[in-house]
Amino acid sequence: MSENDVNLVISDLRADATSWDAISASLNEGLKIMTDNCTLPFMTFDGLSFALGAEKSYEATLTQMKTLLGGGVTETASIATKLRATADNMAATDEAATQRP
Amino acid sequence: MVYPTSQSEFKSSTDKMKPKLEEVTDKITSCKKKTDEVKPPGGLLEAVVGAVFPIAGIYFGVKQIEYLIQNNPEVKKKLEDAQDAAEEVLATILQLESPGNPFMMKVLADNWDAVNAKLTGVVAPLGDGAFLATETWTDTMGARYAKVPAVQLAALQSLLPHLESMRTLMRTHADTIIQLWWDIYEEILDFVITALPLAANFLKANPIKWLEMAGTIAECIAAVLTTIKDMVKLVFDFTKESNGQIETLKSASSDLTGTYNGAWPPARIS
Repeated sequence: MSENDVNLVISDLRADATSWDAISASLNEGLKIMTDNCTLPFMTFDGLSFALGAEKSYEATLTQMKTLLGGGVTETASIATKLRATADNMAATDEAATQRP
Repeated sequence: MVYPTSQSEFKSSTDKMKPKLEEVTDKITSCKKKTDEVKPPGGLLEAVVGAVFPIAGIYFGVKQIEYLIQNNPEVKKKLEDAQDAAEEVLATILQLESPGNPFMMKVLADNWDAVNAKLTGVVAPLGDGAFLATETWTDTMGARYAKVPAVQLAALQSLLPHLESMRTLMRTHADTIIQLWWDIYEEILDFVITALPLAANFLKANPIKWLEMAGTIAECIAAVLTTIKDMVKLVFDFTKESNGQIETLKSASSDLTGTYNGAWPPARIS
């Protein structure tokens, strides 16, 4: 791989890491709204719906979505971290190779 | 019809349904009590009436009471019918338990909209061509990385239909609950406005008119009972349908396509 190619990959990895961070932040904003504002307050459903189990079903669905989305927030942030670490490693390797006599 | 726009307006009105219905049943009880006070003409009554009124007065007074005694069982029967119907209206309303807080459901629907906006906003950034290094990073790790965006996108897309269901369900359910409960409330209000004066007029009317008046009261209550039962059935059917939607949503949540053993898929790069 040429010097230019290496520099391009490093630059693209850093750019992608920024994109993944932004994605993780957006997913986290969605998760925060879900956690703070979508929880069902007491006595929200009408009596009949409550008796038919609507509240339990709502809460089960909400819990599952929060768990999944929480995984998404963590995973996308982790991708950014891995890409940045890879870029740093490549840059260090390239720097070492350049300085080798 | 103008529907309420706040939970406080909605609740303060629907909370009045039960006391208003109880007011009607109390009034009918008073009517029945009044009819129970009618006694056959006795010697003392005739003597008193005879002392106060002229001969014709005695004659008509006694005839009136005789007429009343003769018809009283039918008057009582009509009032019993009215009371039974009024109690059934009350019992039917109690079956519904509570209208809940449909305005909170609307707030929740708006909040699900906000979640939806955030997550659907991520679809394009996760889409094809959004990541530069998927093209330029070509070693073994790079080849693994190139597959990552599609996997992450699939996981996100598996969540979106559930969000759509949640926000639609909450909004539709809220609107229908408000509409149906408000229709019932207005029906009861109209009925109370009609029934209470009928009962009040009964209490102060000439007993000769009682039979006709008791019949009108019973008919009025029977008519509203039919309407309210129809509406309660609508509420019940709708609630059942909404609950079915939630169950479907819950069941759909068991389809974990796009996930990794039920969890968000990990990104395999290194």
